[in-house]
Amino acid sequence: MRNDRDQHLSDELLERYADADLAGAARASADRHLAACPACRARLSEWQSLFLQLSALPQLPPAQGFAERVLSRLVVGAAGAAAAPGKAARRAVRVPGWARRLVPAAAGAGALWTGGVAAALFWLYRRAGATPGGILTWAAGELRDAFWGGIVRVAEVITLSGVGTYAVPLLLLWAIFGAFATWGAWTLYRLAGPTARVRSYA
Amino acid sequence: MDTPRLDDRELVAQARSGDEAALRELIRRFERPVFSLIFRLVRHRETAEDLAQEAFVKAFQNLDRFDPRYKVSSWIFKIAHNHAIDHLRRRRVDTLSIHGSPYALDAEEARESELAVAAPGASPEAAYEARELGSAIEQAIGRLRPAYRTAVLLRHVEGRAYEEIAEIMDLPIGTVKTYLHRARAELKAMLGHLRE
Ligand SMILES: [Zn+2]
Repeated sequence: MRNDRDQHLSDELLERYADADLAGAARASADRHLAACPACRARLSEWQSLFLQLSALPQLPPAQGFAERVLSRLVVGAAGAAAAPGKAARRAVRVPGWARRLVPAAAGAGALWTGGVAAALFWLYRRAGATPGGILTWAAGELRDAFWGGIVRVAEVITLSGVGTYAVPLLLLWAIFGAFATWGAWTLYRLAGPTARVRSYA
Repeated sequence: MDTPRLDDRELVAQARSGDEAALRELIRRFERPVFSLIFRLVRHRETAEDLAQEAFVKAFQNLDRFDPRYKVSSWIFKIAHNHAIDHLRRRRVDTLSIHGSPYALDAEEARESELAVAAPGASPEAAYEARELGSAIEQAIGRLRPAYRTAVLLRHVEGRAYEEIAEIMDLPIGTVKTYLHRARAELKAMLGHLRE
């Protein structure tokens, strides 16, 4: 600033002034000019307004459970690396977002399925008077039969018990449910013991 | 192990020996700054969540390459920034290769954010976005080129020193200062336009 009066403050200087990046003589000189020059005061206020808005920008948080999602991806990546060392070790296996969001549903289905089997066995035991050993023997016999034969026998048992009209759709639903539950159990297995697997990787 | 008491470098050493609590603490310390930066770079919440998770996974898989002379935060920011920029480049190649203009990306971003504001009822996600990045200053930041955006965000949201920003962005300090000056001049012009 050779002459406070003659030369307006540069944009860069005003920016530094607004950023509180001016001190000493430079600051004093700028203050003198600003006190006498409404044009530079107006330009300064634009910078000040910008810095004010920038300083008010908040940090934006990720959705809840971020850490869990990172760790589960790390574990899935580690499992993949253990299975195929070398090239695959560098890159985590990608589990698509929709699949990760379905994990709790699949786990719930697994629990329901297990509960359902237990309840059915109990019901058979009470209703048909079969002993647990008897049910086991019967099941072992069924397993020895051909696959379709087994299905027919189960259908027969269900028909005899009075829910006959719903037998086929029920069986179908049960099969779909079973597949879903198996997938849930597999996912749970992969996620089990994160510490051990993370350790093996890190 | 009292992980919250450890400093960042000690945590990394601990995490390197496979301590899950140390990994969790590192995530706790950096999830907000990392997500914030990526979100404002890609301007789409779900994509940002995904990229931020991947950035942490990358960092954790390369813990043994961390150089203790640097700050842990710089190292994590660097991975996050590079990952988000890679994503933006991939997307630009996918969608806008014809123009090849360095501003094409920004124009696209601008259109996206305008859409989010223009149709707040379109989807819950769009309405959410409009609310989070809808203010005049956020819109203006969205129109800066990504490198300017990172410089401004690291300086003003994260309060990082020029040296650190230079480290994170792999640029000389002079370039960082130039970026910041140009970025703020552009922001001032955009916000001035809005006022008129
Ligand atoms: Zn003046």
